[in-house]
This record gives sequence, C-alpha cells and structure tokens, in this order.
Amino acid sequence: MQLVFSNVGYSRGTFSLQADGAFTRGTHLVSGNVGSGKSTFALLSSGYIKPVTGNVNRDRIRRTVLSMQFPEYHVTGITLDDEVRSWGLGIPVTLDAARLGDRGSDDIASLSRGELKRLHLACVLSVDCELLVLDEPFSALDCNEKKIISEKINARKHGIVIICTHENLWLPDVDYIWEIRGGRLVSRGLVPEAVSRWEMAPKVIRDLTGRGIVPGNVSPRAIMEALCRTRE
Amino acid sequence: MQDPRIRIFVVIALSIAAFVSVTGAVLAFLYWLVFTPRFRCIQRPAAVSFFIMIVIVALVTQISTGGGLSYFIRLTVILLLALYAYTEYHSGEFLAVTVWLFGRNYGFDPGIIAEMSMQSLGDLENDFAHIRVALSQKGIRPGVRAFIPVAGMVVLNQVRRARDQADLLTVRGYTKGGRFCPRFTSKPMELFSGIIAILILFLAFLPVRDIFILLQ
Repeated sequence: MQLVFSNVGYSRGTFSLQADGAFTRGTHLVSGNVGSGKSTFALLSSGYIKPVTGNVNRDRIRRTVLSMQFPEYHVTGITLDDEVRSWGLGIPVTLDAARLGDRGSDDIASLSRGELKRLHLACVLSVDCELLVLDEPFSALDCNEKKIISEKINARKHGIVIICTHENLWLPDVDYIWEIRGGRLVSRGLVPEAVSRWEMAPKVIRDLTGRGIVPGNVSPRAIMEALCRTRE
Repeated sequence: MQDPRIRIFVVIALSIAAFVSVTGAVLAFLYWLVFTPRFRCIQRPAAVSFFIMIVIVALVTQISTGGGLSYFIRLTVILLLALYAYTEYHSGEFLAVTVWLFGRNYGFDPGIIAEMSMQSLGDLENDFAHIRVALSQKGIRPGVRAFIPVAGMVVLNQVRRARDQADLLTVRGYTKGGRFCPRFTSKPMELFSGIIAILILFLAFLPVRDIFILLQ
C-alpha cells in the first residue's frame, strides 16, 4: 500500500507546488509555513484536485478520508446524531469519543468551533480507510485536546496517515517527516534520523540537535525524554 | 484591463445597455468577445448555476407571458459581464475607485463596504468548493436532503466572519472614513474600449431602425 507522487506539479495563479515521493504505511508529518501549500497538498493526496503535470498513483488504497482544516465544511447533518450517521458510524461510541455523549439531539450549529472540531476528528479517526489525510488537525483545539488527538493518531496502527500542519509542539509520534519549502515537497526521511534534518523543527528540537542530542521522535514525550537525557 | 475605473465604468455602462434592449445586449456581447479574456471568465462553477437559473426563468416567462428570449439574451450578457468584472477584480480596487470618485470623506466607507462584499463572495466560492469535497467524501449528492444543514453552516460562517471583521475594525479604532491615496495606470487601448462602451450605451437606447439610419 502506497501513495506515489511522480513529478507532480500544481499551479494556481502565482502559487505553485511540486511533489515527488512515495508515502508508505505509517504516519507522515508534512510541515510548512502558512500558505506554503499544505492544504493544496492534502487535496492532491486525497484526489480532490488533479495535478497539472505528473500523476498521483494510489496503490492498494481503496478508501481515502480527508479532514479539512475547518470542520464546518464537513457538516451535512442538522443534529450531532445526523452528523455521526452521515459518516456511517455508530452514534453512541463516536459521541462518547468526542466527549459529547449527552448532546446527540442538539443542533450542530450550537457547538463551538472547538467542539465541532472534536466531533469531526472523532468521526474521521473512526472511519475505516487506507489513507487518512489530516489538514491542520490541531487547529481550534486546546493543548489538552491536541494531546488526546495525538494519542488517538498514535493508536492507529493501519494504513497511511498524512498530517499536514504548521503545529510543531503538540504532535503525535510520526514515522516520516516531509517539508514544503519554496513550493516543493522535500523528504527529510525516516524518524529519528529525519528529526535532525527537519529545517522547520521547533526551537527546542533545533537546540537539542545543535548539541548533538537527537530526540527519538517529535512528540512532547519524546522531546521531554531527550531533554532529560541532557541532564544525565 | 488594468485601470479599475474604466473597467467598472464599462461593466456598469454595458450592463445598462444589455438591460434596456436586445440591441444593447448584442453589442455588449460583441464587446465582451473583443475586449475581455472571454472564456477564462466563465470557468467558474457558479457560472453554470446562474446560467441555469436564467434559462429556467426565461422558459417560464416565454411560456406564461412571452418575451422569454429577450430576457434570456439580456440576462445572459449581464451574467457574462458580471463574471468578467469578478474575474478581473483585484483586492482594493473598489476602495480606490470610490475614493477617487467621491473623495476621502464620502468615498472611503462605500469602498470599504464594497471590498467586504467582494471578500464575502470569494469566501462563499471557497466555502462551496470545500463543501463539495465533503459531500463527495460522504457519498451524498447535492440535493434537498443536504441543503438545509449546508446552507445553515454557510450562513453561520458568514455571520462569524462578519463578527470577526467588526471586532477587527473596532479594535483598530475605525468609526468612519479613512486615509487612502489611490493610484491608477491605464493604457490608451483601455480608454478606447471605454469610449466604445459609451457608444454601445448610446446605441442601446435607440430603436434598431435608427441605428441603421445612423450607419447610413
């Protein structure tokens, strides 16, 4: 199972994005500045926009789920129950996962953006799919919620997960790091070697790698472990 | 066309011409063919929806009272002009034109309102593109069943954005008016096309017979 980008080029007005590389089973972090093209890459990955040049090959990927940054775009139900049902999921278990168990009959418009994002992520993380593309999954969430979502992503053991985000503090453990720099997708390779090659890494990681200490991963737990290593 | 003053004037003049008579609509269509990027303008998903609405109303009008063909021709040309105006628009142009036209005291506020309206149109277009992705992902065909929640969320998004915008203007101390010094660049060809638009507006008010007398 893999998602292969072969000489992919996409452009719109003055914006352009080039991508080449294979996304295999595991969790992939695609990092980049705001406006660098992460959302465009997410749409290309999930097949909702077509590349201008090259092609995107989906090898043994039957179902793809894309989570867009703004959860409002996904809403097709009037109540929370309707929304969960629209994803083909069990209502009680999904609402419980979103910690909105007692609000199934509430109007979905009554949720705050944070609650809606929580419900939306509970839905997409419950869907059975080979490719899960998460575009800015941590936006509109507080630190505690980001931690919970990271744990849920860590618990996912099947398929390909692509996380496109500029969040660089509250992250799950990932297997591969990619960056979008100057309109091009660049592979930093397999973690942990990729961590020291990650140019847009948070300051704490850059400080650690500058001192020759490479964290085992990019999650707060792995960074904390590396920080503790310095005290030894 | 670089100069928004000429472009906005041309769009208004030709829209009036197309609205008042079929002759004006035909001449405005010819202008659209010659002076605009034509088919680049109509490559928008919303264009098809608006065109279908025009066709439906024209058919109903033709069957019930007659005159549907005239309605179809005039409104289609107005739609093409609107798409041209929207495609060529660059952020800040309305503000520049209204300040140039009405001065800093009276031109700033209408310009800001026009700019915010254009921004909302862009946001709506973006919203619908994303909603189409979501519907497709869930295997839901756009229809009555999905219309109410989707429309509700679109309205709610617009209200939230308007509230954010109001907060931003308040925080930045906006009460009314402001300073803005617009600059424009125009080419001789743009002036020429503006003159052609004035001519079309003039011809649109003349009966067809008189146009041929004028041509003779």
